[in-house]
Amino acid sequence: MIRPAPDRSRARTARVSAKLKEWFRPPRRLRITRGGALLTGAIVALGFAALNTGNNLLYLVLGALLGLIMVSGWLSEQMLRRNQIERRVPRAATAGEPLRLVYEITNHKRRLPTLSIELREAAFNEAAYLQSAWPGRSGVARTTVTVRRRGVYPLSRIVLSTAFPFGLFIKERDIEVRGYLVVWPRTDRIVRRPRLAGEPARRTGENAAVTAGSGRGDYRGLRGYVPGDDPRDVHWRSTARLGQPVVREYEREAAQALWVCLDVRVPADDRAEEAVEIAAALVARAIGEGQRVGFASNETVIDLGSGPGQLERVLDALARVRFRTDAPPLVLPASSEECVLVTSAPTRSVTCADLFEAGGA
Amino acid sequence: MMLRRLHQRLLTIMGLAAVVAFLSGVGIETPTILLTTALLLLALVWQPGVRTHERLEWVFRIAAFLLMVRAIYYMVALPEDVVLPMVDVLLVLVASEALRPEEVTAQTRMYSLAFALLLAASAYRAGVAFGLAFIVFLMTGTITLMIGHLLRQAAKHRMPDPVLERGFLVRVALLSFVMLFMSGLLFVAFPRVTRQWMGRGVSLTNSVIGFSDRVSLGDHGSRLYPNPEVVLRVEFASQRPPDEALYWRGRSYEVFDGVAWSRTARLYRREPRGGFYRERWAQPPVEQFIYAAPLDVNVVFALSPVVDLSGGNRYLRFDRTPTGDLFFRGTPAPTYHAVSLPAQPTDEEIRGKPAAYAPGDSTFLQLPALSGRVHQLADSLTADHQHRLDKARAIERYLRTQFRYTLDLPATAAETGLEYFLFQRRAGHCEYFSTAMVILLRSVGIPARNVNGFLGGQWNEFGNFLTVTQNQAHSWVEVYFPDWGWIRFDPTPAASGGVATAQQRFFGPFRFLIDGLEHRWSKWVLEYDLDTQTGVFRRTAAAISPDRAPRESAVPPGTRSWWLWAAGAFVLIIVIRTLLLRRSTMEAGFETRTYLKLRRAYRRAGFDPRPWLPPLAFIEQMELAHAPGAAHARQVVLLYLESRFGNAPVAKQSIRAEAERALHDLRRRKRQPA
Repeated sequence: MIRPAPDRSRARTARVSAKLKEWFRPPRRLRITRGGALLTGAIVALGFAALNTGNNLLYLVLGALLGLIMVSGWLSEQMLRRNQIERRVPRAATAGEPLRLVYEITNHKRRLPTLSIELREAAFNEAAYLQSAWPGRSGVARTTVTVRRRGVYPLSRIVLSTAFPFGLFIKERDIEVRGYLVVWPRTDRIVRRPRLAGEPARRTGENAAVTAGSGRGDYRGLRGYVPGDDPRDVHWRSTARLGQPVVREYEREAAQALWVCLDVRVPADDRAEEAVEIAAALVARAIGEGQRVGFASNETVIDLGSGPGQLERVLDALARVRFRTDAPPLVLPASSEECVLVTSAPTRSVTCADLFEAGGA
Repeated sequence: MMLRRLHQRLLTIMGLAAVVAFLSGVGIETPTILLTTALLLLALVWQPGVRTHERLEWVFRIAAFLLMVRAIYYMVALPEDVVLPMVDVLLVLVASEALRPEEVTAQTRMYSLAFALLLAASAYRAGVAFGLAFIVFLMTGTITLMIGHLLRQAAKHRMPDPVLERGFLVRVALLSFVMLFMSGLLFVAFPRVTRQWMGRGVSLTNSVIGFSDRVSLGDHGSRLYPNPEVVLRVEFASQRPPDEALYWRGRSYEVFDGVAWSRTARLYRREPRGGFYRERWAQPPVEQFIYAAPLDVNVVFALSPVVDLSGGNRYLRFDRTPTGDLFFRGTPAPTYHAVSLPAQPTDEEIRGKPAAYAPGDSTFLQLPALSGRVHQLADSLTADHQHRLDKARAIERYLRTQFRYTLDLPATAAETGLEYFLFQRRAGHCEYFSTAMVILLRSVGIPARNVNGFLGGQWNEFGNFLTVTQNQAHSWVEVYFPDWGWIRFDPTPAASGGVATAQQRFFGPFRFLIDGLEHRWSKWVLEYDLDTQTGVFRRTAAAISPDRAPRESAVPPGTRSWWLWAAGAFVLIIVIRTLLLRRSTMEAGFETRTYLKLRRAYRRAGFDPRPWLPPLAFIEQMELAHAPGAAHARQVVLLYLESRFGNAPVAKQSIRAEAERALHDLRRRKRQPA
């Protein structure tokens, strides 16, 4: 008998209930502040007093307070309407570090400004505050959020709320602005150095006698340009001849290639995330030292490259990594001497020059 | 800083408006009010520094604490007027809030303090100044609340203070008219089904002399100072005052002990009532709607004799003394409807019936101990006449012509006696004259009594009502004729009694206006009750459907036109505004019109074979075809696009100039250089 996996049905219930909640979400929501509660209490009390005593002046005051609520409702509604909102997200952010979200709000109203509205992503708690956007012009609101975990976060709903004009009631509405946020994993995890085959030998001996300035070793030859390479290495004559950028390659770099391989065919848990962070730290350090680094997972391969551009590509890929046990098996992109395996559940099917096990030593 | 300063100033104005509202109801009862007003006015122009403010805070706190203790003491020990001591505390707090420097942002307290003050003001019978202060309070309150909210939000999000354009502030202030409208709407429409407002304590009534149970002639030493405080406001059913002299009868006094008049509760004969007069006096009755100011005596003032009296509202009760005086209870400032016969029978009519000598009631013949001279004088005056009326007229004429009216009081106590007045001084105020006549009449056996009330009044054209003030207080005489009842005699010289006698020079046209506003305020706001409400609804319904004749209501008509005028003005304002708006949208169409005109011109000249092309494509075609004026046409199109879709304001001149140049070239068929 086949039974659906329990987590799948729970996921489906969660989806259905989220959809229902979405459906029943009212277009405008109203919350009352302390001042508003006081005012409402005052109105009720005044109403009673006026009814009881028949004092005509109290009716005047009561009517004025009700008018105040009417004016407040109308003005706050106007604040939330006819605004065009554009979200500007940084290209990428790092987990655990503050990232800045910027909103540009263009006010399409003819006469009224948009004043004092707060913009809050449905996914986050922090709100950006727009002080003013005059009619026909735009204003900017900024906020800083911190995302703890790496990943790709779809951003859809922004909640606009305002307590304008009197701070008595807070009116909210939703606006759909689709976008997504890529959060890279942290790269500052402390990891030991990878032990590649043959490397210790290179650290001593002849390379110690290399003259200053040419720490990159002998000239090896030309190769095609990979984004991230130093533009000073471009060989212009060959480039002009071939019509494509060509760079000079040196021994040290050619030799020092590091492939970081991440096994995603493991359950998605904290240890898997730790593995991602380890991989990120390895890549970051290697690129920082000028090494050429490549990345391979069960589904993605990023060719060797160096420089910050390569780091971004790898971190991007790491951000999008999804752990599932039904992923295709990991295939090493190069010889196992250049590969370093990072995994949370080492298996015997893959062997590399070095193994970083997450959650262990 | 500017917005902060503006906010602080507006808060102070709010506080001032609340204080003014309170003043209009209470008057200057405590010195705290004056002090607070002075401090608030100071706060408009000066702000203390932070350190000065700290020291000031201590002063205010101590003062507030002491006043609070005093208020509690009042509440516990003397449970009279608890509100005024509490209001003192409130006033001190308001002053301390107003004198905060801008940096200290604890602003929300002032809202509730000022509001509490306004509510306290509404507990008293406030005048029209309350209405004006209320309007100011609303308008400043709206902007202040909004600015305060923006400032607080800026501080919370650690941003600099916002900068607001003045036009926007003005528009928000105009929104407060919405609140006023709601206020008025609720006021008019909310059903008044519960008790009529009972009013607040006695301390706020005006004191009036001459209507207590005992009225003495013993005042001496200075002068009677005229008092312009309003006592009555009277509307007449005929919309005009009657032509005869208006004697507003208050109270009568029967017993004179040589110094003072007092009342007696005993009577043998029944006092003639309204029906008695209605049968015998032929003159037409006069209907009056009397709005009385709160006084410390509950006397019903009306033209006498009163044949019918009905309360303007439901919880006002009338009492009648055996001597025919009318009193009220239930509210301090009653509104009532009286029907009287102010025109007395003529002398011929009275003489027509012989005054039967009825030896009955000796109450009205009571005399104090008098010297023989008084009796001799009375006899000498009346010896030649047989009819009671003629005798009374003789004494009246004697006093009127041989004596002098003056407001100066006798110099010493010894000179306050009646005989001194009759034989030595021969001058005095109205009480002396009426007392003298009553005594003289009684000494020849004619029943008479002294009546205190008011004489005349000032007609207010602005409101079509009569104002009677305290300086029109008067004393006169009523003499009993068996077939006619009590007939009025007035022995005071220079008392014409008509409307606007010589004493009323305190009213300038400005005071007229104010008084008219006060009357309207009193009538339509303070006295608004279920009857008025149903009347309003009926009249509105009648105004909406004019074919249905309006039913007769107790309140005089003529107010219906007010509603129509106001509604018409409102509609007119809306129409004008819409037209202005329409013009502005027409202006926005100027670019469109110019562009379309240009294209039409090119099409007619044959250069635009494809009129469905969008603007930029059209320009491309023109340039490719080297059409004349293409460069200028390009400018026109660019300006048109910029202004219509780019939200940028473009001067009409530039578009017009370019279009004219393009059309000029087109007309001249100037070909572009290839």
